[in-house]
Order: sequence, then C-alpha cells, then structure tokens
Amino acid sequence: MRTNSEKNRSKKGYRKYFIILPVVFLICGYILFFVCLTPILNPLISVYSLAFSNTNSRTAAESGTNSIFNGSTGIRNGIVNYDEFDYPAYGDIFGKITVEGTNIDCNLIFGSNTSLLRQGACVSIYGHIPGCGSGILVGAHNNTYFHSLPRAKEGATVNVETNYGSFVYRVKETKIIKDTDRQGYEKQLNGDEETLILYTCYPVDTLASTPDRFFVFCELVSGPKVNMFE
Amino acid sequence: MKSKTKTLRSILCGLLAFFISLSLTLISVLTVVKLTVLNPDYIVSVMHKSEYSSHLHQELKNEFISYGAACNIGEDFFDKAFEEAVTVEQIDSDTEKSLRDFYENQVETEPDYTLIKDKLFQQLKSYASEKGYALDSNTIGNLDVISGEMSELYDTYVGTFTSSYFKTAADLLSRFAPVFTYALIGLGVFALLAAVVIFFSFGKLKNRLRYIIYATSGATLMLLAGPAAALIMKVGNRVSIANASLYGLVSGFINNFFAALLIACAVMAVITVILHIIRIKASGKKKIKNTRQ
Repeated sequence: MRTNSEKNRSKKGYRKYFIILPVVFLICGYILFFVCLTPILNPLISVYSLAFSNTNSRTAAESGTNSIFNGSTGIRNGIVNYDEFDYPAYGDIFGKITVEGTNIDCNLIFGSNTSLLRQGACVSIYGHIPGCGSGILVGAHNNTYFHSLPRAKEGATVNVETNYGSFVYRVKETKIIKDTDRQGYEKQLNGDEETLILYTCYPVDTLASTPDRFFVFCELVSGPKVNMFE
Repeated sequence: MKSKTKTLRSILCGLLAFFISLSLTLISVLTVVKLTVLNPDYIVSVMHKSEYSSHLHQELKNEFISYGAACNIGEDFFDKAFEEAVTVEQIDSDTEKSLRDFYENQVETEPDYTLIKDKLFQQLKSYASEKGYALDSNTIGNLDVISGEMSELYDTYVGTFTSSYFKTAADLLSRFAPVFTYALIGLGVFALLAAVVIFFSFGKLKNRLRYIIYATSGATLMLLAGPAAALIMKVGNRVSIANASLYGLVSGFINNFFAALLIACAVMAVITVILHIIRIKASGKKKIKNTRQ
C-alpha cells in the first residue's frame, strides 16, 4: 500500500505535468506544423504580404476633394519652382477652367475617378499639370461640365487659373476620336510642347452609348513655367 | 513494476499523448473547416451579416451613374432604377445562387441577366419620353444597347463568383473535399488506437485518464494559440480589398472562421474538465474503498 508521502508526490507530479506537458505539446505541435509546411511556407508568405496589408476598404479615404485653390495668383509669366507652391495631390481642387464660346466654367481637379468626375473637370495623372511643358489631359462628363465643349471653335481662348499661376491657351484643333484610339492624342500628350487636351464623350445630346470622344487641342499662349528640378 | 519499466511506460504514454493531442487538434480544425469553409450556408450567412448586398448595391449605383454620364443619362434616372430594377434583394438572390453553385461545382460562367436588362430597357424608354426624346427606331436601338451594357456591368460586379477562376476553384474543391472526410476518419482511428494503448498500459482509471487529460489540454492550447493570435492581431481586418462589399465579406469570413476555431477550443476545454472531474471522482472512490477496508 502506498504511503501518504508517495500519494502527495504523485499528486504534485500530476499537477506539475498538467501544466508543463500541454505547453510542451503546444510548442512541439507548432514546430511540427511549421516543419511540415516549410516547402510551401515561402510562397505562402509572399501571398500573405500581397493579400494582407494595412491598405484596404477601411483605410482608403473616400475620394473627397480638398481645395488648395484660393483664387487667381496673378502670376502670368516667369518661373515657379516646385517647392514654392502646393503641388496638387490626388483629389485636390487646384484651379478653374473656362472656355470661350461655351458654358464651361468649372473646378479643375487633379486625378480622375467616378467620384471626382462628379465635381469638376479632372486632370489625368497620366499627363502633366499646366506649366510643365508637355501634354495636359483634362476630361469631364458630357452631360455636366463639358456638355458644351463641342461648341469650342478654333482660335477660342481657354483660361486656366491654378494655385500657382494663370495660364491662357488657344484652341488649335478639334477632333473626334474613337475611345480606344490612343494614337489620336498620344503624340500631343507625350510631346515636348505644352498642349492642353480637353475631351469628353461624344455625341453629347443623344441618349446613346458613346464610343467616340470629342478632343480639343490647345496651344499655350501665356503662363509661368514650372521648374520641377532642383 | 521496476522503476526503469515505469519510466519507459511514462515516456511511451507521454509520446502517445502528444500524438493524440495532435490528432485531436487536426480533427477539430478539419471539422471546423468542413462546417465553415466547405459549407455554403456559412458563406451565405457571412454575406448577410456583412451586408454585402447593400454595399454592392451602392457601389454598383456609382458605377452606373458614371457610365450613364457618358450616355447623357442623369443621376435621377438611377435613383429610380436602383429602387425598382436593380434592388438589394435582386443582388442578394443572384449572389447567393452563384455562391451555392460554386459549392455544388455548377458555376455558370455566363449567367442570364435578361430580366435586369428588360427592366432597365423599359425604364430607359420612360426616361427618354420624359426628357422629350422621340422614340424612333434609332433611339430604341440605342436604348437597347445601353440596357445591354448596363446588364453586362451588373454581371461584372454581381457575377464575381461566376468568373472562370471560381469555376476552376470549384472543380478543385469538389475533387479534394472527400479527402477531408478520409483524413478525419484516419485521424480518429489513430487517436483511438493510441488511447487504447494508454488504456491497457495502466491498471487504474485515474492513471489512464491522466495521459488523456494531458492530450486534451495540449489540444486545447494548440486550438487557442493560433486563432487567438490571429484575432488579436486582426489578421482578417487587414485583407487588401478596396471595395467595401467584398472587404466586409472576406474579413467576416476569415474572422468568423477563427472564432469557430476558438469555439472548438472551448469544446476541448470542456472535455478536459469533464475527464478531470471523472479522474477526481475515480480517485475519491478508491480512497473511500481503502478507508472502509
């Protein structure tokens, strides 16, 4: 028969192992899982870093607009350095645009998406901003801000006020191009001469799907140059 | 029994207890996977809880408004269209069907949304009349094209689960789903055999139960550690999806899966407690028997 001290030792042993052994099982179990999963662990880690991050629906801010435009600066020539003004961020209202001979008088917004197109004319991020010496691509809906764009005639003046300068363009050419035909405007967009390219869906007054785009190409008449380099 | 033999028996039973612990963990995980990830009712309930259809309804409306702006259709048209033609209930029903088809490996890669197209077409005709457009053959033709393109836009968003990727995934799922059942049976048999070996290694019930309790406690900890860490670190909330609708669905799916694993952990903990009580009662009965003698 067992003595009391043997029974107590047995109880203590049970209590001790009741705590230690499950923890040992936990650690050994997870080590075993990782060892078995090692061949597929690296690709899984790559997938994890792509599929999981801190950027998602909860962190992406609503595409609201922030206005950095406070009226005309009066700067119509000269050079403006990039660090002397607030370079517009995606979603910023940074100017206004008017086109002679039309009803176009609306905000100029940097960036383009469904929400921003409801608030003004949008400057594509695939082009530049006025003053940078290359193509500036500006689009708006044909049933709102650019409804009267097809009325723009050659020689008409286009005024663009921004938070860093006032620009004047002159309409050089208007064209109707298929929506899938990038070659129709790529040369002007990526060229060495500053060209303001306005476009909207065409036709404007019919209830129909619009496979065409109405383009207005404008040459620079006056405005400051933006120096993007140090 | 000699001390050396006792030690050897303890080590062997300890190892068997470890493998029983692993088996119980895997059985629990596989059972939870069968009841959640492989269960269409689970994802449908997550879809309802995350209000997937309401969010998608709003997202779809924004896309339609943008499309309509290019066709000279004002926003006011879509306020009405999204109350009568493209409703939350319609989206809910179409999404639930595509999800259930996925689990039954009957994904329709070209679902029929003729009903939506017809409703939109009728509404467009009324809209055109209100705006003073003559309903000649040209206009009717244009409206037919517009309603067709809108129904395709509807398919692009609501038909997410009918894409070819999901068809391939459904094929794989139907092929490998039976493996889970065989794995469950295999693990169950292995755990049972190990338990029988422990059972016959000892004469007293309390000693037999000792190692089984170690096994179930180990399984409880293993089921607790991973899912608790995932929920605390909010892994499910960090999924990189920009659409609110899909984000809610996927993060809800992941979080609820980890919560289900914690429930499995709780069940294992209850089993451990029950075995512990039985062990105590077995020790108590033995004490009374010895006292009476």
